[in-house]
Amino acid sequence: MRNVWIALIVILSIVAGALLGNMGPKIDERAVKSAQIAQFKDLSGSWRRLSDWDGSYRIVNFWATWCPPCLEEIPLFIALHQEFIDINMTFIGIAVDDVERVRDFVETNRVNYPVLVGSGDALRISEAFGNQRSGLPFTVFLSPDGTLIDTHSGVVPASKIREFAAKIR
Amino acid sequence: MGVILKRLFTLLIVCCFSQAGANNLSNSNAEDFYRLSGKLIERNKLVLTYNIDHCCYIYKRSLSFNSLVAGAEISNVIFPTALQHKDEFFGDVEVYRGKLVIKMDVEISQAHQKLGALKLAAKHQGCSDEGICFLPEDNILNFSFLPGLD
Repeated sequence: MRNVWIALIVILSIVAGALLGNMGPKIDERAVKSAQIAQFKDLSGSWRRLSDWDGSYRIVNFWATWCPPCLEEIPLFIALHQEFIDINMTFIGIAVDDVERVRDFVETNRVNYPVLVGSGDALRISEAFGNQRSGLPFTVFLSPDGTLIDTHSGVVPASKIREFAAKIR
Repeated sequence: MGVILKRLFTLLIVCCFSQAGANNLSNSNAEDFYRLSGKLIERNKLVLTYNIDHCCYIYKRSLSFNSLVAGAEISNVIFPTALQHKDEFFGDVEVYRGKLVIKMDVEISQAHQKLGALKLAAKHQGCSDEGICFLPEDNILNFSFLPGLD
């Protein structure tokens, strides 16, 4: 009987620990709002901030040209941006990279949504949205008033974006 | 009743430890995945060791090493055989996993023979198998040519 109790305790602990561990980081709402007024240059050299797109649902993708999984998902964003052009949703890329490399990639691959460029500061902004490991790609889903709806670390499945778009329609 | 309380208390304690473990994993960042150490062997031989977490790898082409002190140069960098890795975008690339030991020479110019220390910048970039990549990282390592001052 004693062994059964011990086994039960260990199993419950592991399950509880895993569940609690998967609850994700606590997001500081003020940091999320501040992140949206941080300025980054776009490819024409103008200063932009995420709050410039207030009023729209936003899918903000942090990426870099040195990051293969980032490049893997960009064709999907290009296609979905075109597919959902008629709903109140926009993709925004924030590259943690060198501006010339980003410009080359954007032109070669005909990226059809706004792309901003930052360096380490862009990564810090992604951390404010919950990018705990400071890794790329990292994608943020924002409501029109800038409320953080969801985040995704790694390549975003198309189904997740389609579900997001379906709720907007 | 006392026995049940005792067992519930035990459950709570173990649960807390499980939670701490889970948080440590999710809080890990690039610095935890790529731990670098170095050792100066004789005056002009340097051995760097990356301990790469089992989740991750380093791109060989991302590795670079530069002396940050005048009069000392890094040369003859010897890399071990790398593993082949297929990237969706970059094609076939060479990567390292696990323990990576790199040897190199330190060349000290004639005018700086009394140089007492070396400051080295070691750059690397890597990704995890779950498809997350980390910012290129610069590590600064300091070595003393004087015994016991490393």
